[in-house]
Amino acid sequence: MNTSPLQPAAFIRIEDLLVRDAWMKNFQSFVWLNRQTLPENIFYGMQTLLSMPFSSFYQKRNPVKSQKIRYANFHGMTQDRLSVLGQSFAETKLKKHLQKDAIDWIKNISSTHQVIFFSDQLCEVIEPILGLANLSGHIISNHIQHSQGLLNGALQNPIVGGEQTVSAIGQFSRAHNIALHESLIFSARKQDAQLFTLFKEATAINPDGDFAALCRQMNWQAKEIYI
Amino acid sequence: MTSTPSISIKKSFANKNILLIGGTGFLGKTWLLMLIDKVQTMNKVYVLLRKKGSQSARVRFEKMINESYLFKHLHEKDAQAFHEFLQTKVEVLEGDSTVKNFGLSKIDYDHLLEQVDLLVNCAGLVDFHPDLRDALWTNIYATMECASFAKQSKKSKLLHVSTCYTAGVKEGLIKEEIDPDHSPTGQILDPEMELQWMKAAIEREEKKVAQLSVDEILDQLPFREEKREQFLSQESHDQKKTLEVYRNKILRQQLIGVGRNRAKMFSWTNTYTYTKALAEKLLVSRFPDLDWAVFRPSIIESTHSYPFAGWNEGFNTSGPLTYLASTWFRHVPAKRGNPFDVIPVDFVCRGIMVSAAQLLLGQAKRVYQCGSSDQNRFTIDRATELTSLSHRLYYERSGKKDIKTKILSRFETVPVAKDSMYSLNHIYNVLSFFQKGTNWLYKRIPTWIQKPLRPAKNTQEKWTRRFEKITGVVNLFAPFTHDYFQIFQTKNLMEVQVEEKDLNFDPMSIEWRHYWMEVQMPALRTWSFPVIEGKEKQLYQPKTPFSFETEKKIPYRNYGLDSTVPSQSAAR
Repeated sequence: MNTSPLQPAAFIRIEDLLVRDAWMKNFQSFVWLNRQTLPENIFYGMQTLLSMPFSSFYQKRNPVKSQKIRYANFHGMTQDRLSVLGQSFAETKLKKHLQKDAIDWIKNISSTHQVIFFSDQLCEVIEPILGLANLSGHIISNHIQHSQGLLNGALQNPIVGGEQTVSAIGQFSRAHNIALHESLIFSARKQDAQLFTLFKEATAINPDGDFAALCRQMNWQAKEIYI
Repeated sequence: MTSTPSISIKKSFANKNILLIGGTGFLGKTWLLMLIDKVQTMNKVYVLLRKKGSQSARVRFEKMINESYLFKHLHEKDAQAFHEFLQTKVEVLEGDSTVKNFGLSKIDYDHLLEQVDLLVNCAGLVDFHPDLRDALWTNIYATMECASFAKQSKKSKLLHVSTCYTAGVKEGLIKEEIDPDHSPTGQILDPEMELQWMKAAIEREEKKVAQLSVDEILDQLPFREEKREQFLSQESHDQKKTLEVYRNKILRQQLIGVGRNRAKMFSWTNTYTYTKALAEKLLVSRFPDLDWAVFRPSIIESTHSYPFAGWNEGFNTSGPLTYLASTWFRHVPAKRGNPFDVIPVDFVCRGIMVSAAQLLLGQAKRVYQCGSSDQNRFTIDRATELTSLSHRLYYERSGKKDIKTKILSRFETVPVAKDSMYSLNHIYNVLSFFQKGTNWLYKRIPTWIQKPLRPAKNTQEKWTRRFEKITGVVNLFAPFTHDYFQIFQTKNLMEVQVEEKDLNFDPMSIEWRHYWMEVQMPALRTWSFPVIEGKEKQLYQPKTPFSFETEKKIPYRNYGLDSTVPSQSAAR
């Protein structure tokens, strides 16, 4: 049994802070266009196009289901390719959209706190983004299941997304001896409101009307970082 | 289950004298570095080197120490200590392992016989289809000469470096054993008779070529019309010399063919593996009571981590293929799932350390295989995909925005079966057929039309020749990438526990994606691709170059300062 004392930490959601979520979501199409052979591009392209309306439909209603539909198209691809495409996507598409103010602000936080990044995206995209931003810390993000290096398109548990983010963060904090009630959280998503209640101090990033009202009501802080 | 007691490499080598042959090769020099940097406990390392042109063995050794990036960290850490260590622990001897008594003076040879505890033979002719004479001398006679040295010596043991691919076309699990009487497919084969056959075949071809008339010689040359014109325009004494050059060229071609056909007949993939396998068989039949071990590495590639990640030299097996993958070349003959048994050179050196220590301790097995397919399999389709992905990232990071770079970065090489319609052989056949047709047509059209069409025809010929070259390279490597499913057992190395963790053979620690993308491909781009493109090799320049102080040496010893040692060709 692990008896070391619990530590506080700063949990930071990457979407709409370091880079806009909409840009990151293009990864699905990027992967489709970069399969190994032309027949694969055509086949998975069709599959991607067909799944897109369903994925969008569930985005607000059931984010986990939306994610499952999105990543099912990665079936049959190698882990190597996903990793390299993640790197390539970060370097060619996301690097120019990284928010310098946000990077500086996170660096300030990391000088006083242990930083833990979390995101609904795949770790293959998040890791290179943090690398490009020269940021380091633990990452809680999604992984696709694989067998002998081939992806099967299903997400590994615990899934980071929707309400399940709470349990993913809970599992992580238990495994790493982190006291959530002593920790800070920063997120630009209203959907993380449930998560905010578990932390000592919650900060909403660039909250819009509804979210800002909720923050005032719940006594959460709000911070404007240009994005 | 019994646990094997661990061995200490440093203790096993303590106060021992080592004779290293092939110390300037890719593998030999890396092992020498490991020996002088990591082990250090030996008493003396004798390095037997050939004279090359006007360069004595000593000069060659000094050049290697000074110019190879492999030794950079030692020059930079403490050059003086490094130089002193070399002065006291290393002796360079000018000789030739293919010559009787290594071409050394009696006094030197006797001294070695008395002193040497372990002979490590890393020398070998790695050209896949060499002249049979060269293969016979370097891969067979030199090995026999090494074994004969160990037999005459009071205490010397022999570690002979061979290759896993002596298994020929045999598929499945390749065990660590030598079958002295059979070919890979089980045909009966007497190595002594095979040796006699080789000698007779060489003599027969030499006689045949010597008897060729001038016309027959000129007819057998490529570009025969041009060569004939050149020849006829020469003076008679020049003609004699030219004829001798042509005769040697033809003989060489004939003997390459003889070796290739013989290897194929007995189910070996090329002359290199055929002659290496024969040397192993002859060790078994001629030296059954001697303390020797055969060390078989698989495909040796760039360093994994020692002395730094990604050192390579020239081009190894994957060099030409990965280079082609960075061009418009699209289809590599590869069978999905086939192991691509690559092993970094520093891991091979660790393996040599382990097997050499076992020999010195008197615990050695006869055969040690050193590969990755048994413990941590890397497949050819994975290698192909990672190569393409690596080129993609490289092109993207190059900052070039032109359309050619953009297309090339997405133009991925894919594995295809040899009989696929996309295979290079098929494309080449179509091209050759097309060229024959255009040649036929070209000869039959009027001269005034021929003239403007000439540049187009030249371009077509250039492309066909280029394609022929590429097809040749790809076919050369097909046995490793496409033809056979081979897993090389590495039980004998794996079961040895080594006290020094940095000398332990541990292929499981290789993370292939990292190795291929971050180590091997950058290494090939730095060290191998420039060589393929005919550019100058990168040479290191230390602040204080190393040089042997000859006056400190014993005066009678031959350090390559004179030219009395017979050259390889003279000895033959």
